Amino acid sequence: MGLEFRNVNHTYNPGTTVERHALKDISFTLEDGEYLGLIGHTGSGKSTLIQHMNGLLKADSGDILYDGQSIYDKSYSMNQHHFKVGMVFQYPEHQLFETTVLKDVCFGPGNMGLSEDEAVSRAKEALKLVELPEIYWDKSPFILSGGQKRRAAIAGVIAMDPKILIMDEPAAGLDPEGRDSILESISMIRKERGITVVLVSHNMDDVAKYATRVLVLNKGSIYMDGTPKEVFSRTKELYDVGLSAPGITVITERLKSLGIGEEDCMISMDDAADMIAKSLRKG
Amino acid sequence: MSLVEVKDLFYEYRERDENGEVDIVTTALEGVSVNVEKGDFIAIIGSNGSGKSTFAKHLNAILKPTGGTVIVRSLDTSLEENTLEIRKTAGMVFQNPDNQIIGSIIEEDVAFGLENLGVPTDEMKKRVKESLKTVGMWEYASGSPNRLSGGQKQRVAIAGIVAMKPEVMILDESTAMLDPRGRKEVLDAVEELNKEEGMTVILITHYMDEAARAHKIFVLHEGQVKMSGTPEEVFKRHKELKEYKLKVPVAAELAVRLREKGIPVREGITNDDELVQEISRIRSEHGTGI
Repeated sequence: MGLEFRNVNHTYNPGTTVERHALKDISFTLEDGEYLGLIGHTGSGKSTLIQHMNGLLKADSGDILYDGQSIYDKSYSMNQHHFKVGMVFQYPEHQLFETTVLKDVCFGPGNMGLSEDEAVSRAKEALKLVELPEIYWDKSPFILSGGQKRRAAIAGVIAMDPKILIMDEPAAGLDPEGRDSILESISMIRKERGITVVLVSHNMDDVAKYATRVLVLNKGSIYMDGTPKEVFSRTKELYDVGLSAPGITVITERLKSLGIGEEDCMISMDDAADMIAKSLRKG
Repeated sequence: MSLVEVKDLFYEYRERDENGEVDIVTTALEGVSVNVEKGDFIAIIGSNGSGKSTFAKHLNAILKPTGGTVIVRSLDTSLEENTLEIRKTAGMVFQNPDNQIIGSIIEEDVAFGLENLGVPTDEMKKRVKESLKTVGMWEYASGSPNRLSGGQKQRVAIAGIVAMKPEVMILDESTAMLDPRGRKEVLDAVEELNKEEGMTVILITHYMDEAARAHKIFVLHEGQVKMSGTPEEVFKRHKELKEYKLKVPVAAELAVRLREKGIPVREGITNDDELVQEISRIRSEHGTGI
């Protein structure tokens, strides 16, 4: 089932001089439980695509189906859809506003019409999932560090219990440790809740490490769709559209051209180290 | 005398309560000393909250020290009368490309700073052309900045700085929002300015592979310089870097993993070229004898 795109098109400012065809005939199905890495150059249509996923933007033509039903059907509740498909925008911490962290995280579930007790219990659970220590829950969100604020903002979306969690560059601007730790948390939440995750990122290393499937956009069209190994083995084509391959892939490709290591497209550090060591021992 | 001399720099952020009394004092920099020579390419790395941006803001007098001194080309940044001269000397490129472009035509945007400095028209035209050529954006000169990619916008922002002929350029996480090609474009342009024009560069970044391209790296942690040295010297100490919430570049990490597996990869690998060379050397020297 999942979320199915059928020939979706979207044009900004149609009929004006600044008209831009941002999505061109997009068809694919986001399957339940997937971890989709969405990559593409600036302006390739990534943001437009994810905003169609949760219904913030409406397709000009084509259809989007959630569990087999068109989200544009009159009988389909778009209001509920916004809760089913949770969206964490870039730099979400800029949207924190409440006087305490807990109140901020309660805001979303409160909007869903849940009782205050239920909202609080969901918020607490979400804060535990994003691993924000309890000592901060009653503090102002504005005294938190950058990484902690980001966690609080993500908890606000998790608390609405989405089936699909979309994140636009959740690790942008964080230091290497903060980056790893937030992405590890997201991976853990996906497993624990069995949800679908969509990660929009310019960081090929992160996408290779976490995604189960990679979708590449170029100028509003789907350019590639496959497993990380399938996609990142096409290094040259990725460069052509302004992207790159993970650092480890680039190194192992160069070694392979020198006859060291036979396997195609390495995307994990451990596997690459094993392969190179084995190849050197063999001589 | 060094181009930039930072000596025992302290900076405290003071928050005041509703009565105007100092409420909370946060020390962002604690005795930082850094010298930058003309023509240097310096990288500053450190975790979120380590004081990197606070440090950068001292170099062109956006912030003034609460202790210690910052001297840029013999000018003390704490003196108000020096501010304009310091800003001409030290140009800053920020993180978000969309916040730095103001002109509706690219060449006008690049000329903006020059107009403010009162540069004559002929000289201005010459400098705009030269600086846009330096960053590879001259062919777009008469176009609108709106349609540019992030990397192109950042290069236009850099051209605007270059046109003012500063002696030092500071990049404060200027590639953080860019796609892979954009990052490469900006880094290549910066490296070329340093090599070809002798521009002094101070690069603040979370990307270790970018820092590896500098001549010298300073590691900030909790407002103090914890390490400094060539990329080789700094990335050798990978365990210590981890304590500061940092990492080493992918090539350096792979080198460590291979050493752990008993492959005699030398220490101090910082980039892909060095690692590929080293592995080729091992293969030709050892054959099957490892």
